[in-house]
Amino acid sequence: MMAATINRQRVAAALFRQNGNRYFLTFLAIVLLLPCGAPAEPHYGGTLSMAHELDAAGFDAIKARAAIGAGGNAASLIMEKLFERSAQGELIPILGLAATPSADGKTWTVQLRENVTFHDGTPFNADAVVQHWQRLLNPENRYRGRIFLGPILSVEKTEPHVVQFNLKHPWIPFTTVLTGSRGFTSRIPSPQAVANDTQNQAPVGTGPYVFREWKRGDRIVMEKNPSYWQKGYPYLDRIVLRPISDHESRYAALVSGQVDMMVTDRPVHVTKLAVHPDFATYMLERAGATVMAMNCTKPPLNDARVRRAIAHAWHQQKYIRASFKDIVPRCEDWYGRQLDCGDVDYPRHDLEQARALMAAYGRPVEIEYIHSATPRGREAGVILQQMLKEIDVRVKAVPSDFPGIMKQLFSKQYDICSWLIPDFEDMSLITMAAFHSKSPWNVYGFADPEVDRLLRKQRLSTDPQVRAETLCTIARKVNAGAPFLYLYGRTFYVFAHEKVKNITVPDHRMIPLADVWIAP
Amino acid sequence: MALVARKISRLLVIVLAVSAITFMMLNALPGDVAYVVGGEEASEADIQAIRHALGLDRPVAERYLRWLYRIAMGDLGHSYVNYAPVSEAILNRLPVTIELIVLAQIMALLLALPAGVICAHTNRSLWDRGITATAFASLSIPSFVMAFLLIFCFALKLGWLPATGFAPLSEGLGRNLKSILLPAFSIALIEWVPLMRVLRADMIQTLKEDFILMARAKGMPTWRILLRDALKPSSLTLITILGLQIGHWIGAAVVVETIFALPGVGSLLVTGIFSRDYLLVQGCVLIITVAYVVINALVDMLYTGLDPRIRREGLNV
Repeated sequence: MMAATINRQRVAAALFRQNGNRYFLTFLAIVLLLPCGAPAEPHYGGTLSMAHELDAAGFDAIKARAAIGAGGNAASLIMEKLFERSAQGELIPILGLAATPSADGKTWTVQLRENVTFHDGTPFNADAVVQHWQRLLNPENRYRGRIFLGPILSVEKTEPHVVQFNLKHPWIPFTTVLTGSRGFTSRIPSPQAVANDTQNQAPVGTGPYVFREWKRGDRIVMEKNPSYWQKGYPYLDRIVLRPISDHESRYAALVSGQVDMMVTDRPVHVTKLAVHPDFATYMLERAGATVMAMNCTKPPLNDARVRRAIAHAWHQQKYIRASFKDIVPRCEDWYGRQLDCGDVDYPRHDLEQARALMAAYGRPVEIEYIHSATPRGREAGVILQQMLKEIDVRVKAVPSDFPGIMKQLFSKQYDICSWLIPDFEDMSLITMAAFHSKSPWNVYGFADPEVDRLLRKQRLSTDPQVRAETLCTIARKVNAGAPFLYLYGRTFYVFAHEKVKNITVPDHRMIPLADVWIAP
Repeated sequence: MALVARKISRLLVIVLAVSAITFMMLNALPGDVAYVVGGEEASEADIQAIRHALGLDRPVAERYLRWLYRIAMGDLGHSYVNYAPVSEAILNRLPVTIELIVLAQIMALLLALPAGVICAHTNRSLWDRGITATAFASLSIPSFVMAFLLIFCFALKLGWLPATGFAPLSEGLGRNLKSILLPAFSIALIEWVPLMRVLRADMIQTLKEDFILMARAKGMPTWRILLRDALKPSSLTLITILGLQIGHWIGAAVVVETIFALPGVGSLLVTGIFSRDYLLVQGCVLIITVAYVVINALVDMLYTGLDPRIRREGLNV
């Protein structure tokens, strides 16, 4: 109950902060509807059903292309990490008990929990952790997240329940790699299931829920792990995750009581459900940013004046109001709440400045914008066309599906293209990948030797203050080069029926359903 | 026997042609499954390695022939995206789509048969005009709009039926029917109209035949004339339309399965198209094509049962 109260206030306050008087009535209504009373005792039993937009893509770190949608949530219930991270940044023991760095910071020794078994009866020990990490680090396996694990050289077993991570150099984000929720890096699978090649379809872990069924496009069913190592957990008997791709259908499923929770970012549903007395609202503010990538390697956008002119002509707040009814935040860097850099010098909306830059460029500009073939993508196309018309830049909006967008981006055959900077527990990882001139992830073709130098500096730095300042300087330098337009900060909403209790909102990614219970 | 063999060979040609055209069209689409498989973190080298591993760097014709060979061996291949066997994915979902289409057909016939008979019997009356106007109004609503209207009325407002999801038969017949009623009804509400119209038109002609006049002269009751004597000879076009409409029904199922989050072949096809999972799409298209041509072949055979003239003349339908 308390968690719901806090989060109602958070969402209302955020809406109010972003929109001022526009959402004042919403704010007032939400505050008046706040539930009150002491937290109730947990109730055991029952089934929780949650709707996601996307189905799982698999559960094996190597084979699954991503831990997306319902799959990410299911993986978090079935497979566990070595540690979680508290809001203060401290490690919370899960399968690991303690992580100790060496004096030179180049090795980390992790003590593992004993007497834990995987759901298939395989014992959890150093062998399981080493096998998992060796798979990820082996270049032949082409693990997609390996680019973010660069400084980790190897992982070895030193005792039956002790492993040692060997690093190239001291690396501050190391512990966030162990606690990260992105992908499958941090989640330890059963070595037996991996060896049998069943992990991708029928995942096995040590978590509070045991995988029962994955009917693609319909449901993922998990049941309570009766021999879970944390006594007294979990509360629910069963969790059913349902991918419902259509937003209206997902909304209807929640309102008609077929699912107890759902994820959405649709303004029409967010504004309706935020004031609905039967539902609690939880806002997931993620780091990262949704952007329009500008190709710095191809004329005319290889000229920084044109990119900056377009950035000056773009009005982020107007776009957010038109397309999202102000339910998502503005952003001028990609660090979210991880790092407050203050003013990061992103070109402000200034048509005079934009026209002056275009005049200095001196040639007519016609560009193609590749967007998702969705109503929201088309909307972005029309808005971009209208805004750039003001500076005589002609935009041809071209819809494309996800594979098409990926191909154009990675082969750098585009002018402007929809893209995103995903969120990580430590945004320095994605900053390195996205903006280093040699990184395959640098889809913008952005190249600045000074930024490369700063990226190396922050990676090697062991002083958090220096690192933070360096990351902010990188943001300023990247913004000065304007390799993209910011669309909005990444924010999602979860709505849950009031009977669903003990929901806590983490700083990143997924709602931890393992702690949830349902009131009788 | 020769007729059956000729029919089967014709059907095979159709299936081959459709599969070849689909294969070529899928390959002509922009985008590349390797980018989906590789994910956001894949480098260009990773993408090339994935393309090579999946055989996507080989010529289209060679890939098509390999696919055909595997089909001949009874193997639809594995999904490029999640590595699951395509045949397993389709077989798991086929019962849902079959149930949806069969139930939708039954509902459409339950609406079309009485409406068609009443319209024919009361030709140009207020009844006829009223039913025809309702039918055209129903036909003018796209299936996805109809689906949302039904969800709004029966799930959100009345709370009688679930808005989304599918309950398999293993969870009980009642739950299963409740979960599939709205999707089937949203297809039937559109598809009953052509059935009703052809039945009405044919029956109006039949009711002018001499044998109907004879029956009336004998004093047979109207209901008996309509249902026993006139309905059977009037339903030949109706049966043809039912067969030909299978493609349309499957198209409607694709939309309806997505809206109602039903785990059928239609939604599988949509997923496959968006992720450029060629083998999955090819497998779905193959199954749909086979279903289409087999059902139409069965309809051809049904003619002989319905109309003795066809049987006698051995008409090459």
